Amino acid sequence: MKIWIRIKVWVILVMLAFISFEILVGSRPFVDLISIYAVFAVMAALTWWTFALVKEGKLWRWLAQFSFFLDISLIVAGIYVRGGLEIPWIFGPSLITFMAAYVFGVGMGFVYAAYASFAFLGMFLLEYFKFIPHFAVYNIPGLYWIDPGYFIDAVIGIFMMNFAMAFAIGSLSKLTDQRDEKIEEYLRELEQTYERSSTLLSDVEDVRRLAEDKRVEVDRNIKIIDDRESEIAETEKEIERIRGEKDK
Amino acid sequence: MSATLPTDVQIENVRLYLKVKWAILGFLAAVMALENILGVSFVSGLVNYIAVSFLVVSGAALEWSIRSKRMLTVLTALSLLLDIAVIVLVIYLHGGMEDTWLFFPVFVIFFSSYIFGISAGIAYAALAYICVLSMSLFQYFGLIPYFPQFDLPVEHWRNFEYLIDYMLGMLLLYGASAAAMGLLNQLAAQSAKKVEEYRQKLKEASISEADAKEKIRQARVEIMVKNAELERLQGVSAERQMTLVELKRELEEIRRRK
Repeated sequence: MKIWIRIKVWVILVMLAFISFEILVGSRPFVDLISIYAVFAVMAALTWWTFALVKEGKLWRWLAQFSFFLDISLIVAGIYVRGGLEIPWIFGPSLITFMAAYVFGVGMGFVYAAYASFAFLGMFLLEYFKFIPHFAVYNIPGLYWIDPGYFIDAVIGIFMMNFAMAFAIGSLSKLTDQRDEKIEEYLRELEQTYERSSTLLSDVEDVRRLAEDKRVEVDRNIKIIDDRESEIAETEKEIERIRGEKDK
Repeated sequence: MSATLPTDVQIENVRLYLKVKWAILGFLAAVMALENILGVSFVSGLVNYIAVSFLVVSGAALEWSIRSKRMLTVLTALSLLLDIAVIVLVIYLHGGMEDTWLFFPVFVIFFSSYIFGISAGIAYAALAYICVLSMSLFQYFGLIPYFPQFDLPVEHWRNFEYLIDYMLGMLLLYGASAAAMGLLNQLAAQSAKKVEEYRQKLKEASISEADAKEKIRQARVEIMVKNAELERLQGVSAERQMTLVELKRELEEIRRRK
């Protein structure tokens, strides 16, 4: 979550810099400032709030999940106000799907991908069938984006991008989780091995002490036998000597 | 680069890239098949079939490389380059700036950053961006032919604001993707390093455990040998004791007779 917040702050800052640049070079009218900056201000405030909650360790899972849905909704709304299918920044919600899939896994990634894709499709269809007004941004004569081929091509692209993003990043997140699980497993095994090793080390000491005792006992017995051998030799010599005197 | 064998982590990363690549190609193939059935053309055409075939061949080469553990780094780098080249070419032949699929190289940038790290990711992002930007500018200034994909009433991409917006958007998308994936790559690399570290520690601990077991076994053998020796010595000692007692009795007898 912390990584997501860090990335989000950077993306907001970079986007603000880009949009300011566009306004400076005159490719966007100055009035756009208010709507775009308002969306970013809401996003930045939410980011700040979630950051404070994460810092205090108080971030609830549902709140984090909700914040991703809110981000997608804000971006889709922002794109609608900025011209809908007319503008080429339709990849925006995919960046949210990207991080959502990383934070919550491939399953939730698909949920966010579906939400982002259908939110887009819904917005385009409402605009296409004139249920909601279209805001033109580039002063391009004629509504080129209502061409069915162009429309379907863009929608397929959006669906593919969102779902492929969720799949790729979710799989990557799964791979990282598997590695983390492996670390946990190794740690557990390591602890057990250390425990067994410490028992074994005390066993080694006991057995070594026993072996040493046996060695001492063997040496003592050898000494006893040696003493007896020399006593036997002395006794035999004494017997020989007495027999010799007797024979004389 | 090909002289050293690829590590398990490298293989895992390339496998993930291939998994996603097959999924995307599968999706594109399905869309193309649907187009053929419906008799319409959204994104397809002969160019797409050729492009998908190229990408399938490069994917198959990588599969071979993973199995044989040969030239993985070189083939992965080349495959990523080929992906970018094919994607940009297909986008150009499908209308270039007119097409909404300029985001497509982002998947290649993702995996270049994930497999080779943030610097390589930024290099691939820069390369993809230069290709896309050059194509767009050449098309905008009429230096290369334009192949319209849709029968649009107006060539909207000739609008300068649209061009700037599109190019800045792609710069943000490619750059953010390379940076984000580079960051995730660092996290993944840390995890992989930790896995390796703990695996090594576990190996060492297992070795010392086996060593301790061997020491216990040796000490037990020694105890058994010493026990047998002790038994033999006690036998000898008892036998010598008896001999001594007999000799002493004999000596007493001789002394008495004397």
